[in-house]
Amino acid sequence: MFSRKFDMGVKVGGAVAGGVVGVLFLLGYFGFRNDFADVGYRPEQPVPFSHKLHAGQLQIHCQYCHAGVEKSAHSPVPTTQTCMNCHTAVKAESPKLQLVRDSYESGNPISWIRIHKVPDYAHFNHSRHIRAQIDCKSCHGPVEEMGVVSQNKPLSMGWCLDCHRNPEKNIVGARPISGVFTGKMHDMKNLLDSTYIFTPIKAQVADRSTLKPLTVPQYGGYDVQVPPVVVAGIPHPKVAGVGPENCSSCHY
Amino acid sequence: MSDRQLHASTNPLWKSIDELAEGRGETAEFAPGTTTSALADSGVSRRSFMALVSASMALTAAACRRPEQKLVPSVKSLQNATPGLPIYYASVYSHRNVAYGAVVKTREGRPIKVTGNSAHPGLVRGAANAEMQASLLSLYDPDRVRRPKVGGQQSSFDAAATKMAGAISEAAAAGKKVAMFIDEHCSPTYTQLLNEFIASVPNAVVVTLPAVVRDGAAIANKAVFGRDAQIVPDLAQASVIVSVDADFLGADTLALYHATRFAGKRTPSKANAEMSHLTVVESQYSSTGMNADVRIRTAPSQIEAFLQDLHAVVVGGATSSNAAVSAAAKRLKNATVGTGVVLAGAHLSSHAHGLALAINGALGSVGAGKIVDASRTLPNSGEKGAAIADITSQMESGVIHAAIFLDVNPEYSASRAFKNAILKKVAFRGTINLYDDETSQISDASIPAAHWLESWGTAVSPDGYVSVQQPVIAPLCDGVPSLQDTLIAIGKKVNAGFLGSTASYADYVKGAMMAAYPTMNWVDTLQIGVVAGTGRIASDAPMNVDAISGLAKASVGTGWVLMTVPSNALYDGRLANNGWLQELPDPVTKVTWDNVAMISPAMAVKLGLASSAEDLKALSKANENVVAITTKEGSVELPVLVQPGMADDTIVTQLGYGRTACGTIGVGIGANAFTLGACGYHAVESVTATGARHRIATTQNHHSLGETPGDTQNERNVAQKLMLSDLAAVTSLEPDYIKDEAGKPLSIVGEYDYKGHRWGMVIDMSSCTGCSSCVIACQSENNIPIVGKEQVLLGREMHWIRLDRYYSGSLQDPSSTVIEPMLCQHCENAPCENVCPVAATTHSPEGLNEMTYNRCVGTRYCLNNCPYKVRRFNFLNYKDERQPLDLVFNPEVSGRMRGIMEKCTFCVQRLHEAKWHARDEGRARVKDGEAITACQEACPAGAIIFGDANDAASRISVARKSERSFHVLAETNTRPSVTYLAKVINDRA
Repeated sequence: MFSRKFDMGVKVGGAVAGGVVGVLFLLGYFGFRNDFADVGYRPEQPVPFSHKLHAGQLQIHCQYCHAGVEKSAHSPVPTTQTCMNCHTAVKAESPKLQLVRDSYESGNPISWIRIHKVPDYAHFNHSRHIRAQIDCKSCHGPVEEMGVVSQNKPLSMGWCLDCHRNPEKNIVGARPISGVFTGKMHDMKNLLDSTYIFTPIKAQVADRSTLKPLTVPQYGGYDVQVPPVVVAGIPHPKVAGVGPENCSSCHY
Repeated sequence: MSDRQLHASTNPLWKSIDELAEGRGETAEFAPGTTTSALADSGVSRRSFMALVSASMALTAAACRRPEQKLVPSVKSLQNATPGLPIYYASVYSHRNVAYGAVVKTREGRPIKVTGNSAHPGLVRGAANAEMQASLLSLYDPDRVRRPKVGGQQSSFDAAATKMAGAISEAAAAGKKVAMFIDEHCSPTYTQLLNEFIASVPNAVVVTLPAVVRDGAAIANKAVFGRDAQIVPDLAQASVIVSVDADFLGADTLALYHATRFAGKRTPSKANAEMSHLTVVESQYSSTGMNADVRIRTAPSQIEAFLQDLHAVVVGGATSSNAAVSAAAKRLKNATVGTGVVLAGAHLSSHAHGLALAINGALGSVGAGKIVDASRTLPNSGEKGAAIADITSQMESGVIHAAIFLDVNPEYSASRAFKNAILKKVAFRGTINLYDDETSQISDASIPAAHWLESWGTAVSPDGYVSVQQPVIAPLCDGVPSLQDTLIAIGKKVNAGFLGSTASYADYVKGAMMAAYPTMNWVDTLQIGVVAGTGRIASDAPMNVDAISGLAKASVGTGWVLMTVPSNALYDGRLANNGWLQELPDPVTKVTWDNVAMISPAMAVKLGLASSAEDLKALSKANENVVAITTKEGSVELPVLVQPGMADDTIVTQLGYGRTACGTIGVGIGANAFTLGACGYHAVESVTATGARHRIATTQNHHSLGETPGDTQNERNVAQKLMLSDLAAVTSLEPDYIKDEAGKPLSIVGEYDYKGHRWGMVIDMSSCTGCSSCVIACQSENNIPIVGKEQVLLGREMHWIRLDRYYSGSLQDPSSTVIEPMLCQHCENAPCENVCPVAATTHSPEGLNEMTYNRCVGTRYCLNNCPYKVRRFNFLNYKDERQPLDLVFNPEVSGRMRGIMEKCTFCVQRLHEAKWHARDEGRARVKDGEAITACQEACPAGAIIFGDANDAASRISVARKSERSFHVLAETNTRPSVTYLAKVINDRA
């Protein structure tokens, strides 16, 4: 019915077209999916909390609420008690804060909706990035301008590696570690500006050859009696000669 | 002839009879002993597989939005608790009556790792044993009992406690007694509580009823020193040890204590050739036997005769016709005064222990501060058998109205007479324990108890250090109370005045400790884990050697003798529902998930299971035949395992298996050897093959490195050993590398330049005792699943570190054993890296062989190309989905799903932590000893050294220069990062 040439043309053409579509799909799926799918993710939170108001206008330090971010892998989400520190006095009757007050009284926690997330098999550590003088805004965008927080960066592996290979533009600079949080929004002159005091994270480390404790067993964790360590400038991983680009830096 | 050939090829290594019989099996796809039957029975057909794949592809493409996830912070801020940071608590683990200091790592409030506490002076270097670490898994065991029961029906705590208190009051009204059965323990506070309980409940008696009762030592010490207790020898001082059936490095609660002290004298070098000498006289093949320099295979009937002879030669100055006795006596006498010691097995008679004491006395090893110091005793280790016999007869005579079992399980482990008495002669039975076990099931009331990580307590170590056990998590299982809290509640119901205003055991512990140590700072004590200023004061006790003649001898017949020993992994079976311990290969037999009847090759012939002891093929088929063993106590059917080096006419089997009620993991695993009699020797009435077969999941032939016995042409020489007398002449044990034309080792990848760290490991096979605590440490640290017996039979066990055990010498009586811990070698020229089609396994700038799970597509090329056979593939999803088991996972290590390859990472998460710590202190490099792997941390022998090879002063750099160092399969030019130090056998006369 059809010539042999036509028949072959249909077969080859079909295969080529199928291949092109397939490649385009894979490119789109793996290359851009994160950017399309996740950037701009802006769920409605159970409490209409505005970072624009708190961080932007009132200039409250990020760490006031996200306390511990400089020493932990996680950036802790504030407890209800943290909200109530101020809101027992400020806007104590506001209907927008009803859920917070209910939570504080009943003891049932607030379920916030998670926005920023890297996959479980990628170990992202907040404290390391902060101590390497990476600005919060490099990954979270201009949070102080966001009434409702949305995801600003793709948080994909390619995007991570872009910065790991050329971190210069995201490093705030060789200023004291508290300066990381400045930008324009957190100019906290009254908050230990030149040196940032923190309690060291005791890794599971000690000299095995001596009988000294392997770990100093901590009853109740690391309390204020641990002598404060003052760090004035920490070598960036790049400078320290440790490449943060190999697989097991994040995947283990 | 190179050194390597000189010292090794004359003595080929072999792992099992199957291997000797069949050689390496070049063409076999699966290791001998594995089965392929289960490979085919996948429940999914090819067509439905395709359908599932296309459906899931379609769903993936459609799912453009990830599911909504919640972030749930706590309501109240907790001081010092930052999400993502671990908190370490000091505590103490009571391994029956031996206290081991513990550090418990918690994350977000849940314990995720138990390690040793090196602040505890009784324990060196933070080491831990397998049971102590694995007990963590039992905390989250879904099979733990949650609700009390009364009369088999679920009830409330108050009702069950009232029921028990009622039984006590009823007994008092009837003028009868109540027996409280407790386990061996080392808590002074618990003892004090029980004493107060008896004081306010006068009709109660307390009887210590451990599953494993061995009184010989206590009776002998009572006669000789006037101390009714077990004395703990200090092996750190010993240079010549003669162990007479004493498995002090194996199935012994003190093994962790001894391993550190023993291993310290087992690492000779050219510069310092000092090394202790260990002679082991035994009928079984024990872990201690594996470490022996001279092992004397002796029938059970001859064990005490050996001691008698040795006593006659050393103390009496006689001569012996037995060359082994003469040689051992000569070594002991030649040893420096106070450094020779004879250890008698715990199950031996009091007379045997008396003889050992007399020999030790004659060697000058007894006295204050000496190896045998009568003040270094185990708490609550006195004679128990007489009290148990007495209470049994009291129960039989009807004097005992009620029996309450506090964390003991006699229905499983006690004698037949005892079990009859509690079932038929006692009106009321109550239990307080963790599991709905055999005894709970015959009880009128049972109350769940809390795990040690959930409860308060105290413990005193053999060296007298007092520790406080603090809870690290609020009780799970709906908040069960601790055993002692329940006891207090019962006591208050019987007698309202009991303990006055003290309401909980927590208050009681604190009160008792503050009263005993008034100057103690409570918070400091909890932080460090040890009460400051405590410790044993060495004191001399006069030795009455003449009393030995009055001690009872054992009569062991010369026919078939059964020896029941505690299991290396499970000990007495208390943690039988713990999958980590069940799947831990026995150090000697490598058997998992079973107990077996071990017999010698000649005895396999005698039982008609093999035609000749020389016919290796027939002999290997004798394994797995089920035999019925009958003693006067009972009968049990067990599969046979032909064990090289066993004494003839002897059957050895492990206790702790054959539980009928403990949870879904442990029930029906193995057979209950307590049925045959208590721990020790028993005359066998009959032993016959039943004709049935039972698969034994042994890992000894899995992951073989291809050592071919007898094939001297292709000698691969993977586990090297040396005689001490040869050590001085050794220059290098390293084989020749295959060189290129320029004389450099041939390599298909370029040289690496390690600018920062260059991680490496040194494993000293001479100090490794094979205790296997590294296996559990790794399992706990790295979220390694258990796979179950069926999967082990397929060769799919997931342990990242395994202990290869190589015999050398004859099958009847192997001359020596080498234990080689084998883990990912992190090769520089890693064969696995080259063959991965998706670059999921790569070389890091610090010398690690990285495994990126999310890239792996499961081709298994790497596994097939690994000469060390250390890669593990997830053939199935092995995760146990039952709650709350997921709380045991270390959040720093990713979980692996089906289809993913995994292997040792050198604990890369710990390396990160150490590097972060260094950088926080403004250092660019990690100091030596800051980065330690989980296996290294747990090793009581210090056999594993990890560190930075780029740091010339680091311990690993120094250790690598040892003349004993070599790399396994170095001739393949893989250039491993793991260096081994050859095992040294002390051959000095």
